[in-house]
Amino acid sequence: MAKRREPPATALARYARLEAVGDWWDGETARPREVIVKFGRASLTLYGFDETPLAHWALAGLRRIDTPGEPGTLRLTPDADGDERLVLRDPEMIEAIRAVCPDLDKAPPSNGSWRRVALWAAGAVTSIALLVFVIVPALAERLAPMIPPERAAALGDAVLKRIGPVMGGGEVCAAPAGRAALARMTLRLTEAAALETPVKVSVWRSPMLNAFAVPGGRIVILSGLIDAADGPEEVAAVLAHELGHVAARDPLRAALRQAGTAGLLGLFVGDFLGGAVVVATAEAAISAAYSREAETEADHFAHRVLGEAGLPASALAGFFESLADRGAAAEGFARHFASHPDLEARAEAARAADRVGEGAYDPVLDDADWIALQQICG
Amino acid sequence: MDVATGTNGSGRTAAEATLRPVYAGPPGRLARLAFVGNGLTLLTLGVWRFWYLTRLRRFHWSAIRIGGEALEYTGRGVELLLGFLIAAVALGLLLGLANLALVFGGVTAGFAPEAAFNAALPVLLPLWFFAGYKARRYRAARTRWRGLRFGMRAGGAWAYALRGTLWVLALIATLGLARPAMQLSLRRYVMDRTFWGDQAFAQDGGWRALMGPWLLLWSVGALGLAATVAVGWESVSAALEARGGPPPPPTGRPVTTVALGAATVAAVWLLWQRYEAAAHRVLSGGLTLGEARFSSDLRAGRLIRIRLAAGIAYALLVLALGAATAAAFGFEAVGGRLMPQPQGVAVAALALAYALGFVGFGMVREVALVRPLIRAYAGSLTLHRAEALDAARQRPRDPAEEAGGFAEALDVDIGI
Repeated sequence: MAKRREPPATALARYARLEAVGDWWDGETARPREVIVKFGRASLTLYGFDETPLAHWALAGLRRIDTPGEPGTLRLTPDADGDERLVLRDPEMIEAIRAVCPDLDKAPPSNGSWRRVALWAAGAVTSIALLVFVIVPALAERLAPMIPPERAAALGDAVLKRIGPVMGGGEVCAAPAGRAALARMTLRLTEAAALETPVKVSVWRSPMLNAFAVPGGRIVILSGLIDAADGPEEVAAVLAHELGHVAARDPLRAALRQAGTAGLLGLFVGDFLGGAVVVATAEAAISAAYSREAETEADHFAHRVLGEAGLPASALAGFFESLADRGAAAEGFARHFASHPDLEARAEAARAADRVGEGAYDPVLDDADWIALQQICG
Repeated sequence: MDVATGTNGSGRTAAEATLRPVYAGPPGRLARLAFVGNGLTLLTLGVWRFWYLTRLRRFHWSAIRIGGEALEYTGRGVELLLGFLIAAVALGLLLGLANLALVFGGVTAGFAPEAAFNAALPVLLPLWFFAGYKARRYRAARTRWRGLRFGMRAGGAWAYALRGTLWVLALIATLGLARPAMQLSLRRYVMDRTFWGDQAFAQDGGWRALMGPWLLLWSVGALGLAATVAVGWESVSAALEARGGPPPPPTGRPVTTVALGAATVAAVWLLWQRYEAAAHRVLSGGLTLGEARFSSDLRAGRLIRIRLAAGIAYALLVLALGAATAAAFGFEAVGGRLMPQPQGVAVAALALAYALGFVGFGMVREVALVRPLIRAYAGSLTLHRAEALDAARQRPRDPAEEAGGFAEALDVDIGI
């Protein structure tokens, strides 16, 4: 702050005769004392009005208390942690003290607080990472099978109600012939899979190319997927994949995991808007990491069930390829955030698992049923 | 300024019987502080907020002079950060496991799944009060006046949390009628444990004095709501039935409904300001510090003017930002079409508008809302028999190490 930087000794000589009145608070009582402040040898000396010296404060130890709401005053303490205060309002004296005390604004000793910050920060990151990646998934794994099926079904219905608006309105398509065809397709797959949990498959009207499973064996196929399919086997292949999720109770585990981790990251980032973006990105990354493994497992399940049902597993490859054509394949950076691993690799795996090949097979739906399914939304 | 405070210019307060606090923080300096603080908070993804808050407190504390002597805030940003980290570890583990257990238990026991997912909120309620108490204790321990520290007796935070939680239940059970009693009870718990030096604060005064303004506010709100629903029932139910479909032709009296609703909101808002001012007068009137006592002459009109002005300032900022963003997007009326700029430009413009908005809102908040409010509240106070405080002595230090950590993590009273 000082405009002229002079060696303190010279500066001190310049201010040797300077004196000013200030208020001295002794830090023990609530009574102020008016004092006369002068420079001594490397110190600031506080005198009473009767010329008796009251205190000598070493210039090197003087610290300023920052009081931005009180312009024009200088509030001093004899050392960083002291209780005494000297309040000066004399501009000349303030300038003099600023000139001769280079350490006026030096930060107080940290007393190891930065080391403790580092320790606690490491502890915070470790414990939260442990919670998010180890404890909560392990608990979800154990707890999911303990939830009775009818409760899981109620949870699934609640989830469907929530995501309906996001997935194009959640309008259920219910043309009777289409539903009958869908039921036949489902039965053929569940028999082949020897699935214990009852499943309920429905079709929603939506342009999106997607299908998903929620807790309680609820599976939803979006009509966009049926429209884009090259044949009923592609729809059956996707259904088999979702059945894999049902068999593994993936949706239920995901719901429990989400319960354990939701809102945690928000704690760290705080209440400013930019934080919301950070949180959303981080949460997407975490849930993608969870589910990639589950997707691969569900693929394997689908390969097996399609084989058992006498259907070509390569139909799954067809679906992945149309997804890729639609530009849904995430590339590069975005791939990390996509819950579906590399579509090409998955398509290849499906082809390799195919047991039907070029041979003949019993189609999953006859032509009339396939048309009925395509028109399920009317 | 010292003349206005009734001191003799030397900060000597011994001979004066009554003191009136004066708020003298220069708004320009506060605006600069808010600009830098919000900007750095944005750039550091929120980490700077601990230091920003510390600076803000330093500013406001030192702007309040009582008997010519300013308050002093000696807290440090690193203390807030440390307290926050401690709280984050504890809360993170607690919340994660509690949420999971509640959802599992709730779903298994057959509660509606939505209820199970929201069950964690009641768990947070005691923590919220706990956090508020801890933060208050830290602030007291880092505040000085006339060289003496404020402070709060150690312990008591959990008891306060229990008390607060029970009061919330009482509030729900009485449909909000218990609020004045709750406010006074919680305030008494806090003030009866607060000290300045070796002088103890004590909160007295009954909640009955507040019941009048509160009942008025409550009944106007209840009646207004009932009237709005009664008049608007037809329009609302028609709108609900037609959800998802084409908008229905207006039925009932939609204009009357909206007017009634707006009038209710406005009346409740005005009465709320009146209640707030009355509460400050009653609470201050019942507050003593040693032999000295306080009083307040805060008027509702002052709060109303401040909040309306702040509302206008916010509205102007929103308009300015909207105009700037639209300009950046390059909306040109070419044959009635809007011509957006290339995507990169648009994204950059949005990011810039976001940053400006963040910093701008922070500045408006501090300068147009927080500062006038502190000024009104502090300036309304009078300290009577202040000469009794001359005999006060220092109190020992309180490390208060959790600082405001829990409060920061839970978003409690981050204000001043």
